[in-house]
Amino acid sequence: MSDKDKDKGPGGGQDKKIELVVVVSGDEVKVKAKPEDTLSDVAEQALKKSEHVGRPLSDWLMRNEAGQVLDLGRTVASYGLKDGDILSLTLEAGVAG
Amino acid sequence: MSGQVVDPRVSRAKFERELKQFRRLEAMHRQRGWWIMSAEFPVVQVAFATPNCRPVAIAVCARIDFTNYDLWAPSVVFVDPFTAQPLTLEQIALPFARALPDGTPQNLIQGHAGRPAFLCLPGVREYHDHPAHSGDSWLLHRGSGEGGLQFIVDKISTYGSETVTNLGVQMRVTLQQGFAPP
Repeated sequence: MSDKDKDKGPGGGQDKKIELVVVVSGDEVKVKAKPEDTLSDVAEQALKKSEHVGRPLSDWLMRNEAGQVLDLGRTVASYGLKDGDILSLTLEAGVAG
Repeated sequence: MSGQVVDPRVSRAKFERELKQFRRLEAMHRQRGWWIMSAEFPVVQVAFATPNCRPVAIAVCARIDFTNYDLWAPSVVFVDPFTAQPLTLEQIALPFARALPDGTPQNLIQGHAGRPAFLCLPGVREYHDHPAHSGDSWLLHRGSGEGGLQFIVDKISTYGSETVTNLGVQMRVTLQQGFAPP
C-alpha cells in the first residue's frame, strides 16, 4: 500500500461512497455520493431519479433533517453528511398573482 | 366542486405515500414546529408552532384536503386549532408576506370579506379554482413538485410560522367620557 493509499484509510478512504436518502416532494430516492461531491451533484441525481426534471435546479431548496437550508455549492464532506442521512428537496414557491 | 370523482383507491394510495414520505422527515418537523394533529384520508391537519419565538405560540393551523388528489390540487383551509372552524383573513392575523424576486412585497394569504382565507399559491386548489387564475391550471403544475404535502407545509412554515420572532402588544388610546352634571 502506498503512502497515498494509507492516507485514505482502510477501504479506499476518500473514494468511499455513502448513500443519502433524499425526499423529493413526496418521492424518496437513494443517492450515492463521494465526500468531495457537491450537493448540487446529489440534488441533480435525486431529481433525475425521482423524475422531477421539469424545473431547473435553482428552483429547488435542499434541507437537512434539522431543517437547515444547505448550500448546493458545498460538498457532502463539508456538512459532515454520513451514510443514511436524510435530506429533503422542495420547490421554491411559485409567483402568484 | 365537491365529491370524489377519482377512484378513491388511487387518491388514498397517493395520500398515504405523501404522508409516509412526510413522516420520514419527523426530525425536521420538530425543528420547524410542525405538529400533525390528525391524518385520516383525505385530510391532514397540521399545527404550526413558532420555532423562532418564545414563549412558543401556535401561529396557524391548516387543514389540507387531498380529495381527488392528484387530479385536483390539495385544498388548504386555515382553521381554529380548537374548533376546526375555517378562519377569515382578519382572524389569521399573519399576512404571510414575502418579497418577489424584483423586491415587490406580496401577501400569500388572501381572502374576501366573511369568507375563509386561502393560500394564494400555485399548487393549492383555492389558487387554481380562483377566477383570477383560470389561465394557470393545476394540470400545468401537477407532478412538478408543487402541491404535495411537504411542499404546502414547507411554504406555510417558511412564509408564516417561521417568520414570527416576537409577540407584539397593541395599545389603543381612546377618549373616556365621564358623566355630565344633571
